[in-house]
Amino acid sequence: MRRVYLHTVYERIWHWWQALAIMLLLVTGLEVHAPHTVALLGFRYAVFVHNVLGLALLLNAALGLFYQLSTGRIRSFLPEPRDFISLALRQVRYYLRGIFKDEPHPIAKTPMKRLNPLQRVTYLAILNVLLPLQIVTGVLIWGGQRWPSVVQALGGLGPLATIHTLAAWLFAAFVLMHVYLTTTAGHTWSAGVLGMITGWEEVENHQPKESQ
Amino acid sequence: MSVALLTLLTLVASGPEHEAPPPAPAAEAARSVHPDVVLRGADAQPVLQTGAPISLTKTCGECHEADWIEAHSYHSAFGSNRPYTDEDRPRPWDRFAGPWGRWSPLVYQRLSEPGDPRPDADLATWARLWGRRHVGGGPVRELAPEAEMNCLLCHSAKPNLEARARTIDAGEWRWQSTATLEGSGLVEATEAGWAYVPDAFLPDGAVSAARLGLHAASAQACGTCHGAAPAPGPTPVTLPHLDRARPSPGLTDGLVYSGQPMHLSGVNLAGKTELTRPWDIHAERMLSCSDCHGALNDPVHGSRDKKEQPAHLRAEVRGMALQDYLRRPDHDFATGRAAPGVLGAQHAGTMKRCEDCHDANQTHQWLPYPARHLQAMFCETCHVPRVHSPLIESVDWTVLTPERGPRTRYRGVTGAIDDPGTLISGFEPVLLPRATDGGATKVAPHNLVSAFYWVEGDPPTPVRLVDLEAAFFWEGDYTPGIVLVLDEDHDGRVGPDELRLDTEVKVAAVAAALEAVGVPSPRAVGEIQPYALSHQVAGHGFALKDCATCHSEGSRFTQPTRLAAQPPAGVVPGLVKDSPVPLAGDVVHEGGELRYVPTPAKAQLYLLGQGGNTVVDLAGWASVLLVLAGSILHGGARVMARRRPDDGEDRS
Repeated sequence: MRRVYLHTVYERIWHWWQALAIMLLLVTGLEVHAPHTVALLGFRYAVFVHNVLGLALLLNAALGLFYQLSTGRIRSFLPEPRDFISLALRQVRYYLRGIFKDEPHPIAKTPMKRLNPLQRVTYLAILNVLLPLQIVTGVLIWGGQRWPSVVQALGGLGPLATIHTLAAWLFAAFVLMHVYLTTTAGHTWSAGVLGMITGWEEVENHQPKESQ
Repeated sequence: MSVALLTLLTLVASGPEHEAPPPAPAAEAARSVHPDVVLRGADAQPVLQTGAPISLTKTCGECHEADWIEAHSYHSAFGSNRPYTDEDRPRPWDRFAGPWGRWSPLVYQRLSEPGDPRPDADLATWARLWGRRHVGGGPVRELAPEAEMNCLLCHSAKPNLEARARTIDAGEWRWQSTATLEGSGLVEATEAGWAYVPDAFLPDGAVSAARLGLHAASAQACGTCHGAAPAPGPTPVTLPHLDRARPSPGLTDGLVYSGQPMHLSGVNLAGKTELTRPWDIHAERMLSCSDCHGALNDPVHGSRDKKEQPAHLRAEVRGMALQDYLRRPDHDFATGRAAPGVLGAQHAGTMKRCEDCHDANQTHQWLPYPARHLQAMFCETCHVPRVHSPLIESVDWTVLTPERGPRTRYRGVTGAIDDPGTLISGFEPVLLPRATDGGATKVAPHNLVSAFYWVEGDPPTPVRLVDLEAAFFWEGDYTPGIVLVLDEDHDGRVGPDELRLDTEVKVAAVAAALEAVGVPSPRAVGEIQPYALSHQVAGHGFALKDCATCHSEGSRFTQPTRLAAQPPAGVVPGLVKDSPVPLAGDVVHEGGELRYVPTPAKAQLYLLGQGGNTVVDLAGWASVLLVLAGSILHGGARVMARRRPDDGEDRS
């Protein structure tokens, strides 16, 4: 095993800020959506806190985008066309077979290639589709009183809120999946989580032939 | 000029004292700036000399153009000047847009057209029925030319309504104005008829305005017919409009207009000690009905018909001069859009709305999303949170009570409405979408009154009361056939709880009984009439503030409202054709009751906090559970794999 510095300080702060915001947004969003199921803050304060958290998420997303673009680290999120299919299939095979035989990860991590092909596709969808969709619908719902004509032109609050809710459910499912798959990311169950705290991860010494 | 006239009127009113043996009420004397009046008859001669009935057209007409006023008063016309066309008549048998000719299930009798083969109420019957709530003039002049508009009803201090009603019931319309003065000391009823009391008149034969108590129409005058509007004072408020025999509009729209705190009233209210709010905040703040429902040409309140105002002006200050207004005060009063399409509907949108006086944006910044709330709701939605007086829920004329009336159910009470001991729990309004003056739609509180009745023939007309009585009664009791059908406990009588047609068999039996007395093709029908609830306005302390009232599973936007406890079997009432508001939900039978179940989406509303879209939530739960199950299975398999005997390979 060798220690590799995978996550910069900013990336870690960004990640945990985002994680906290999303978790609290899910909780407060559930209270706004169905107050009879969660009663922590009361409807009024739940709406207020939800809006503030939404703003925090938006700011963090914008700062994150700036960071990734300015440092060029955004490339680590982009799927590479070459061998993408075969590498993705190897990752699938790892999850279905290799992980149970304690095989090494099929793709070695490096600071610029921290994500496997499946992660890249997933994050591409999350960060470029789901997150913007959630932010845009959230802003429109919030701004419905300021720009009612815009909201009406988009079908009114009903369709917007339905999309927002659906996206929130997908975020909830993603968070669960993300947390579980993090336990598969390192050589131990907790290595992935510790890596996102310290920045360092221990990766296998041997070079699988598929790795780049 | 206006000030000069007022000064002149004041000087006249405070002029030299005259001898008037029965003293005029001091309070009224202080209020009135009106000059003394010579009471005249139809021949314009002083009635003190002739003994003739008082003609207010001639008496008041000396200064005010009484004929013009009568012609510009929808209270007088009662809709008789607004005939329906075939396209807009709400029911096939409705003739005019007003109590004159618009049938009401609350009153039931139908004013029949000449030549009607099965006539119901003729003009005389109709006049007796409505007379005590009609100011005179208009259509009843057809009955008696002297049946003039009675100015004293609204402009004198203590009009004797009972004495007037007696003369109307007796068909003596020409004495109705005179009778209104019984109790003033000016007239008295004798065996020979009405006689004037000379000692109560001034030496010159006039009557002091103070004795008549002449004044601008007060809220109490409006309350005489529209609900309860007791005079300000320490006397505990009661609800005199709770008359089952003659349903007042206040029983449909909850009009109780008083500034007295509810907990000091004489009404048996549930949770009374907590109800420290006035019955209506506007009454507490000294507003009168005419402040919002003023004359359209009133130069003070400026309740000008906005349709006649140049579009580029925010305010039209070129009002009528006061002396011109006093000569021709328009008695078509400003109205809102909430009335169920009848009296004054031609002036819909002319009344002062809340926003004409209040700047809600200034006072509602505490509210989350204030603009959105104000955009979606009329002020009354939160400021009429509950009606604390009985309201009619349903009127069922498919059966007759022993008193020959309908079976009527009321909202917000647990006993007889005219029993002072009955506990009044109040009613939480139904929220329905209503158009604004600007053409947008907002929700506003309403009461839904459902009515069931029999119609006959084609085109249909309501079965006459006389035929209903013939079908249900014989020599004072229910007919044996009716008892046989309705007497479920077989005690030989029809009890109050048995008076219902809740099965097809009962409906068919009563239909047969009606056919037996000559009613052609009787069938039971129903209708729903929404009534806007715009009074009993609460101030900020008692208005709705809790978000959960609307943004929760138990939101009042989604709560079902009972329309009828025991509707006739097989009858699903529809909304009255000219209803100013649509239903935004479904009418369903549940547990033997007929209920209205609102759906916010049908009112173009999306309310956070109601659980939202069930399909989306199900899909969301499914995705979360799928991921959770997959993680548990995959993780479990990993744990199991780790527990297998190590093959010795070192992967570190």
